[in-house]
Amino acid sequence: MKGRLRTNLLRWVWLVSLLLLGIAAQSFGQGCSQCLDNTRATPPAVQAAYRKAIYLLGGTGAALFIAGTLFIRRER
Amino acid sequence: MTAQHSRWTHHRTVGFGYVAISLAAACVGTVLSLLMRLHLTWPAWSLPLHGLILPEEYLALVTMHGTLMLFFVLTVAPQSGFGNLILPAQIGARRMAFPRLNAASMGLTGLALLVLLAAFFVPGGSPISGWTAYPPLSATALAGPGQGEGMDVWLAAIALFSLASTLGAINTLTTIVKLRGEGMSWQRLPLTVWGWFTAALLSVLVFSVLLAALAMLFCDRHLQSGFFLPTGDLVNGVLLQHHGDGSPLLWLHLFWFFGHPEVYIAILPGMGLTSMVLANFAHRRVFAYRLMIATTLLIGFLGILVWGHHMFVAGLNPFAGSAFALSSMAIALPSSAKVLSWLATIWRSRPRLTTPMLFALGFVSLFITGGLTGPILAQPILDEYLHNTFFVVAHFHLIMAMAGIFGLFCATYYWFPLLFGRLLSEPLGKLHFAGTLIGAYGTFLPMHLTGLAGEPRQYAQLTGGGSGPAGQLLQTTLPLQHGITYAAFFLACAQLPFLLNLVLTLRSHLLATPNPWSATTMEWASQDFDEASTEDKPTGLVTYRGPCHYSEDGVSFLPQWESGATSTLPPE
Amino acid sequence: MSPILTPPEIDRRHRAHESDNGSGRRPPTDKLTGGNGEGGDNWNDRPQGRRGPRERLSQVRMGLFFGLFAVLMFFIAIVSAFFVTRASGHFDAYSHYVNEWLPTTIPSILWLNTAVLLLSSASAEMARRSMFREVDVMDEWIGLSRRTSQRAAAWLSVTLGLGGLFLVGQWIAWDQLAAQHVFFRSNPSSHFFFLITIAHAIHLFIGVSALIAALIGLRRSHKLASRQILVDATVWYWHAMGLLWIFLFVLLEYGQ
Repeated sequence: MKGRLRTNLLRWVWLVSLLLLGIAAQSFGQGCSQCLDNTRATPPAVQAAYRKAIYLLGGTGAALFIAGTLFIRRER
Repeated sequence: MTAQHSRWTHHRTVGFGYVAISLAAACVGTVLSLLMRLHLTWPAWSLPLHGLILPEEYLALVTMHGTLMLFFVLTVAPQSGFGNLILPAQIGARRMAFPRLNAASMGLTGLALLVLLAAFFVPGGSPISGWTAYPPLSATALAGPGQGEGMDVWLAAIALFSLASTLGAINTLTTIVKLRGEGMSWQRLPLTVWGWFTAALLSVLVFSVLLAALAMLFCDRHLQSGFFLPTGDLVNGVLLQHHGDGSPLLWLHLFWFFGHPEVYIAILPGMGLTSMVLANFAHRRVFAYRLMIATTLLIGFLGILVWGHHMFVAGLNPFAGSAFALSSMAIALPSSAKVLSWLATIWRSRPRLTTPMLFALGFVSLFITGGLTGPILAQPILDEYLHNTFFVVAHFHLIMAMAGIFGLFCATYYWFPLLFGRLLSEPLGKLHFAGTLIGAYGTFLPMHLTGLAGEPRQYAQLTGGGSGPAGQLLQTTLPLQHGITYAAFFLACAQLPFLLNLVLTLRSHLLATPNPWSATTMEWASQDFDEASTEDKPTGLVTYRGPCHYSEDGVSFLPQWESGATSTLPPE
Repeated sequence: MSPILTPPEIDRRHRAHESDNGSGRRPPTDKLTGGNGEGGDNWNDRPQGRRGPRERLSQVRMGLFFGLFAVLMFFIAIVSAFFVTRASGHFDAYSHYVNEWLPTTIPSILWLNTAVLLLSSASAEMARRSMFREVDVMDEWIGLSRRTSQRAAAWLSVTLGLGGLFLVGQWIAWDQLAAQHVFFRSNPSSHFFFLITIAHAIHLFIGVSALIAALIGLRRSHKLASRQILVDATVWYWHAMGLLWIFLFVLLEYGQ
């Protein structure tokens, strides 16, 4: 009984959090007008380069963080 | 490495060294912040022996206050200071993994502080571009008086600090992974250790990015490169001579990739300590222990991926802004889980309201108050309005600075018997707590209001802005400004009972009983386990269970180091 | 796992039955442990899994790998800036988009340098392996010979020579570019070429210092375990710098 309640609760937590994140996703592309101007004045190649750089930096950082935590699971 | 270690490389020595460094930085930083408040409220007030505070001097105060407090207090004291003083004992180890490296990084941190303080005395004075040192104004000496040698000194100090933090974090990580005593499995590690672990992992990953950014900024300043400088940039009417089409946005990316995890480095150890102290004095187990471990790691992980929310109004692509807004709001989930666990741990318990417990409760309170404004600022649309106002100042001072300081006070009161064999006086401690809590809220809550009213941050002068609508708007915030300044002075004075408490307690001969708080974690195992000894022999301690095993009826408890016999809690 | 000598695994004995009380009932169970100069350090007192050189080795390795995380992030930060700057330009007075980036011609000597660095990594690995060859290590542990250390020192000297050669080669490459009037300040791409190669050279210089320290340690250190750890850590660092160089070289050669 307690276990089922827990899974139910967990499911609700997931649903609500996805919903909350989804609501945020609806507001795609919001930003200050200066930012919009700045972005429009930036050629697509540069935008793509920024995107790539963000993926590279964030991706490596996140991957190393996960690697670090997995790394330690080998120790007892 | 060898059987005998020098006292200089002993982790207690190193830990006290770190604490001394951050204490010095905190004193200087506090004085600077009070000067800022005085100048904001009474611009005509002249500093004795100095004269009027000029606008550029105000900016220098902002810069040095931020740098000292964030780097040398909030990073050094919880992570390196208490990390060294308590961590080995808490995992059942006798020493840190690399004692010499440890001592070296402490020395480097001290050197970094000296170099930074030297910025006050170089020609032009200290830098004025804030602790974030945004180019192009940080990339040229033309930008202002402190941006010449002062900025170079700042760069050198922070580079040294990055190096020291990385080395220190490597030591912490290796110690936690490799030196845990017998029976200390991952599940049984106290949450403080998980906080130190996550913060150290973040330090290893982000401080070197800061170092790279500093190196590039140095090149921009002295080698005519243009990593962060756009073509044809005019500063103070002078065309900057350099090659390349750089962008300040690039610095912002690199800096905040470091800067955001940095605030988690400052607060994660405090979060862990709060969990343990709440459970300790409520005589309860930590609610959802494994979930708390998971949220600590998750906060660290997400912390790497949210840096863009500092750049919503900096010209960031709005789509990238939305992505960063999503990841920033996702952090609210593990953070709320933590708050819920704290509340559930003390829910309907009858906690012993000792001073460390009060400071832990204060931490929770400040974390909620400061945290609630987080999701607001994580919305790009709302942040546009609020970003350059005192609302942001209120947010980060409550959640990071004040919560961090409360974590530090909690640690001081809690571990004082372990470090000095004496209990700090409770009445003075409670006076200190009450004063600090009132001062903290009195200083930083009204800033939300002035920020919402439109008071800009990092402006040297608010009065005399003319009779335009902006000037009138600011006039209306002036009464609150006065109140904030009085509260800030009250907050500073509220630390006097603490200092008095320290002096009185250290001079008294009344020794604390072993394990005075009925704590369950390993650092309290036995008083004859001579922490100050430099001999490298095994502790002989075995960990039998996770922390905080208090019986349901609240009569007895099982410390981590006892094989089976329960100990009885002292009567109230 | 490479073999490294640890004393035989012995279950932790209970203190109550620890000592032979002289009745002759209990056979002596004490094995020879803690030899090799580890004075007063009785590994039997330690819990299993943390009894000596093996654990010290894995500690140092772990610290080193966390340090390498930091080094990797340092270069990743520079490389991500590289991608952004490579694409960036500005609008000139005629509203034309101008990208100043002129790819820096990579001096062909860098190919030779890369080969030298690869070779040095191979010789470093030979040194590392020779430090852990079981039969010889046993001899050296007992004190019959110092063959392993001597062999490792020879290989490390080769590595040191090759590493020095690499640094000289990098110097020549910078010189060649200077002769063509390509300096650090010339162009965005040359900023990055010099920044990356110099930053890597500084890291490699640390490696060279570590090699020298290891060579001194091989002569001076009285403990075989310390010698092994010194060589092992130095060589892993050296490998990482070699790998990093290949990544950076490919980036500079083909990524501009």
